[in-house]
Amino acid sequence: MTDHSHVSDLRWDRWLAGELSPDDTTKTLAHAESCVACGARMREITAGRDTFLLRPLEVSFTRSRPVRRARSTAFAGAAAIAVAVVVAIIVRRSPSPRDEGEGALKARAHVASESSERFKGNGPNLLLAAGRAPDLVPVSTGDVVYPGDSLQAAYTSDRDGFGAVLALDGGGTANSYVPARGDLTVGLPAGVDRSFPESTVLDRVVGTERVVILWCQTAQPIAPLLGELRATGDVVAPAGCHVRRVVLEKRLDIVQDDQDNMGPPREAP
Amino acid sequence: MGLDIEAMYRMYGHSVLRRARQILANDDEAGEVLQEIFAGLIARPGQFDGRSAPSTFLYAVTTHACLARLRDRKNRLRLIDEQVRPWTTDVDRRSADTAALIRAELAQMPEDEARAVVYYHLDGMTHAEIAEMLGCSRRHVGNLLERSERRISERKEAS
Repeated sequence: MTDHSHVSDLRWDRWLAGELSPDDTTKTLAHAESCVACGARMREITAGRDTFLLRPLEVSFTRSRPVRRARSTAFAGAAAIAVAVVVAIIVRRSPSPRDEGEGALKARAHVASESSERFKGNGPNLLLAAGRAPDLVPVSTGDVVYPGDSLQAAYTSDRDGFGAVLALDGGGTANSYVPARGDLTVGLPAGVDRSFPESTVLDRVVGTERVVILWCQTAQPIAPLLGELRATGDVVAPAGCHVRRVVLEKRLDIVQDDQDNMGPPREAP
Repeated sequence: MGLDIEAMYRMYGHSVLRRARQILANDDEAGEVLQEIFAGLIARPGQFDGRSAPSTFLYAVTTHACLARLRDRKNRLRLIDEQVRPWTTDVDRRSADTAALIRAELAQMPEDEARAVVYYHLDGMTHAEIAEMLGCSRRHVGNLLERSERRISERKEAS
């Protein structure tokens, strides 16, 4: 029968969900350090949680989703086929005349990228694309984007992981683009040229847009990362994580805005 | 503020799925229970009133949903007749034989006794934790578990 001097599964679930008080957390983790069975059970339940986050969603949440938001997200949890199409467009398409006309791709050489540790084999390759959906092109530091453009991160990795796309906009607001909702990084199954499961439509706040793409070996809470981005303007890669930073310049697009007939007078791009 | 069921799914879905697998010993059915619970929350978010922690609420509804399935006659016969696998892994403290016996008995137990058995034998909860889950005294939990022990012992002897 069960030995009830051990930590219960309920307690481990509460710990993972952040429901335990700091005191209870300390006691529980101290017990797990001295008890082989509980340490193993903690790792087993944590691994189960991590594996679950890599699964495609089994429940449709569309009913509770607002129709449109300023930073709307195209939720693609169950749309693996659509995701593959988006990535194919990102990879194959040449930059548009508008992008070239802006000199948007001129500063491609400088891309800040960092790993918190050496990965065995190749680390993940992280990519950011932007443009009018569905025609997105890869972007890097120095490129120009416009309100209404979609941002989509993609990756290539030979192992399962977890990721997020965070951004600090010109107004100093830190946002989580992926996940748009939820407290944890999203599951990213191993694969080549795969999209992050959500894209973001840029709002009308212009200025420097610092985008941080994060890939981690284990799930990470989002709140501390957002706090760090807000406070320092950057995110240092946590242990087991790889970070790519892309600094974009968001400008008002006079042509598109005239077509849309929206908003106040714009400045020339 | 509305209930963010998607965030709840990401945070607690693994726990619902793990426990449903352990109780039902069937991956497909466990997936159905996961779907059923969160689809139910989307349709009727008011069922979680926020007075308990989400984990406590989801433990209760998962246990209830699984026991309801076990009570299904066809399912019960399948569980009794089939060779069932161990609850979890080699780090688990529970005996596979006992687990199979308990699982077969669950379908025939009164609701509160079955829930207490699941929490005690499957989740490894203490009497105090079970009392909190069931909203009763620890003494009552002890009585429920004693009754279940007798059932399980009788079944062991019979088999």
